[in-house]
Amino acid sequence: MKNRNSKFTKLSRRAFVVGSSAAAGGGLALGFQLPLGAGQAWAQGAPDAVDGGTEVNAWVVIKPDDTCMIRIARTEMGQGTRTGLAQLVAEELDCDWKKVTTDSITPGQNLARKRVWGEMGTGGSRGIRTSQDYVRRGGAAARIMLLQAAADQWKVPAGELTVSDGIISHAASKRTISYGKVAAAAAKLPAPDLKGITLKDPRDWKIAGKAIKRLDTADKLNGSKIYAIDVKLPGMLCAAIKDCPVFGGKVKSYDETKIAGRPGVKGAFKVKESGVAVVADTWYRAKSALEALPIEWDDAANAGQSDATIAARLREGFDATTNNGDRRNGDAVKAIEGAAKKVEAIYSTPFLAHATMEPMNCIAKLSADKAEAWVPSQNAEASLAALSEASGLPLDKCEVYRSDPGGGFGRRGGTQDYVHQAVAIAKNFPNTPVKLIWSREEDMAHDFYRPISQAKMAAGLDEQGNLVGLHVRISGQSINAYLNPALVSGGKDMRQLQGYDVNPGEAQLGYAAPNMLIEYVMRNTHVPVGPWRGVNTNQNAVYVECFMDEVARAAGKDPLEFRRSLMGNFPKHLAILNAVAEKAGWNQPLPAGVHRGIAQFHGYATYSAAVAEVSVSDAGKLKVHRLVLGVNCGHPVNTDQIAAQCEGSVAYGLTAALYGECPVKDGRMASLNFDTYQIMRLAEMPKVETIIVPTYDFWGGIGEPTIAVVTPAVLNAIHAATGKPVRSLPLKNVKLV
Amino acid sequence: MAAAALLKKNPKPTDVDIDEAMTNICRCGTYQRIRAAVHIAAGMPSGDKADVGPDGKSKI
Repeated sequence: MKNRNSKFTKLSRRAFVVGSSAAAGGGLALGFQLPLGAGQAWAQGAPDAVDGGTEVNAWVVIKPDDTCMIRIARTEMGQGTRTGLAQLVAEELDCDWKKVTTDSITPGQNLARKRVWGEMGTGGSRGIRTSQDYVRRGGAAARIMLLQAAADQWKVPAGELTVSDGIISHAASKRTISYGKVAAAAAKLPAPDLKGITLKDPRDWKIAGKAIKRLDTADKLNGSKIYAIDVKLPGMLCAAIKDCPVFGGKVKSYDETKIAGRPGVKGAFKVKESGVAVVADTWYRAKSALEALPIEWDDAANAGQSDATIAARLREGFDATTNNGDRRNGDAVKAIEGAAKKVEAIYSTPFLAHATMEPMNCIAKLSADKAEAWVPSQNAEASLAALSEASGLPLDKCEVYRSDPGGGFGRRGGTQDYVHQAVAIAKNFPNTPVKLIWSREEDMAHDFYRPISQAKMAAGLDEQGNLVGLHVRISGQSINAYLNPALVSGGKDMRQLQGYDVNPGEAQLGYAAPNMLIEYVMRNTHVPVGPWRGVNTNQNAVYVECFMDEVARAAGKDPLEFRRSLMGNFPKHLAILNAVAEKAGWNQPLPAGVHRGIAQFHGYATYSAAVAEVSVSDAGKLKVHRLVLGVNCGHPVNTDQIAAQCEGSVAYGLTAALYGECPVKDGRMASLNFDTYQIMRLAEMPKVETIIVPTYDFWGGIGEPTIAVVTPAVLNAIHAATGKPVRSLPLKNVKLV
Repeated sequence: MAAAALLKKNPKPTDVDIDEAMTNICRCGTYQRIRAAVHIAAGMPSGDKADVGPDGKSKI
């Protein structure tokens, strides 16, 4: 059982090895398998030999030794989707899990076969939940064909056959045969009607739903895994790039004579209007020459922008009369005005960078009739589209070889700016692969940042401390306005109110109040913004969940009991809240100095809740001791992966809460490496306990939803510890006592 | 590499020893399992395992 991930890691007969040939097959060799042979067979739709195996259908290739190679269209970037999808196919296939391998498809192959593998884009915690139906049907269809082939061979009705672990049996005649022996005959049979297939009840799953070990751990652990940044191709050149540090600025001029004659340096090249790249035989030489290259920038109109100008712009949004989307019932403003007690607060959250461990990179190779790119991508089809657009070649003359990204978090999805840049540079070197790698500083300076926002919160309580009105006004930047203006219809952009939906299903607010107004005021800045793991649920959960604690305290009520009183119409939200409260022992005594906070939220169809335990020293030093996370994602596909994602989301969310900010100074990002953009280390990692409470009646995501509850649970615990609410992030800027 | 160096110097590290030695940045957030893995490598049961599910036969 292993992950093949052939395009990037496997040394095979089609591999070529850069460096010592003696190292082939191991050691320090960097192998790269040419996308020929098998790939072409798929592209032609030929169900014959594929790496010595037979393609039974698009999802399943079976070899004579019974190895089942399961094709994966989505991107694996650490979230476990590859293993989960393989489990779902294998479950319906009834194959031997020990003999399962996986393989990635390319977007060119998908296009050539009319997208038989569906969508490749991997974001929005959709990898499993929007693939599960068709991949399970694919596995089931292959099983039906394999059984029929055995039935034909034995001349018995297929209905008399059973299968277990890839061994087909006919009880009456005591015959057995393995999948590998009938795969070739099965591939020639007509495919069954996919819609007519009855899938297994998830409660009967044997492979899916279990805490099976990941397929892709070993090579990451021993360091042999090849990421796109590691790929070396014959004759390859390397490029370093600098884009205008001020967003929206342009290149005015650069003095190439200052780097003339440097060894290995091929020259400096303007990249679009705003960037300059230096190309050399090694990346170090390219980067060193770029640093020595004098560049004059036209900073355009944005050099005067700063944290202060942006914050002022957001504050203006609180009094603006524009409405960029809302939900309302009753008259919240009037109800709060007339309430016995009013609670008001202003919250703010900063821009955040994705800071993937592997910085942005892309290899492009162009010829007159072919464009190729090697790229770590969350959306290989978007990479293909970018390659086609930038090269000017039609899609069927383009191909993208996707690697597992070394971190994605939303940065490597739709935008593909690095593909555009790599192609622009490679145009200067026809028939030569050119590898563009961004420095860490470039990566931090030119992200699509989590949008900045502020929230003005108000609530009204009656004499008994019941909530009579809730008013939330979010003033902040819009992702859609920056990346996809067509989605801002009639000025309305409900995406910025993610998690506050009236409707059930995707991201519903789990509270009711007799009068409620939640509204969005768009306040765009010159800073590029985009989806950042959890997107707007993170900020919106901080606003509503921390304010909920403020209101509960003003009402003189326990934060858990106060929430429960508003959640009668939201049984799933309430169930997960109750589950974490019970697991964490909400009403049990804590060690001296330790305090609890609680939060719940709904996003990516999944219900999450958390209880945090923290202490704050007399000197104001915070220690997060423990987090209990609860999650109902409907159908758990791999319980250990779910726990791992919950733990990872604590690290990601807590890092942001403790340290994350991207200050803007003179129109540009001021925090450009990990010395200032701090990342939480192992010593700060609290104990995380995850409980999974599935209801088996929907399919929810898992990569993102639980981040949203981490920060508000911790902030509410700090509030409990200090008696003071925390209303702005990151915590490193907040004096706790 | 950091873990190997730690175990060479200190075959039975405590959580505190591990916290001090493992200062690498991890963006995917697997810190908790790295800590557990160092204990396993040192031949010590960590007792630091996540529960999964009330259905929950499945444990790490």
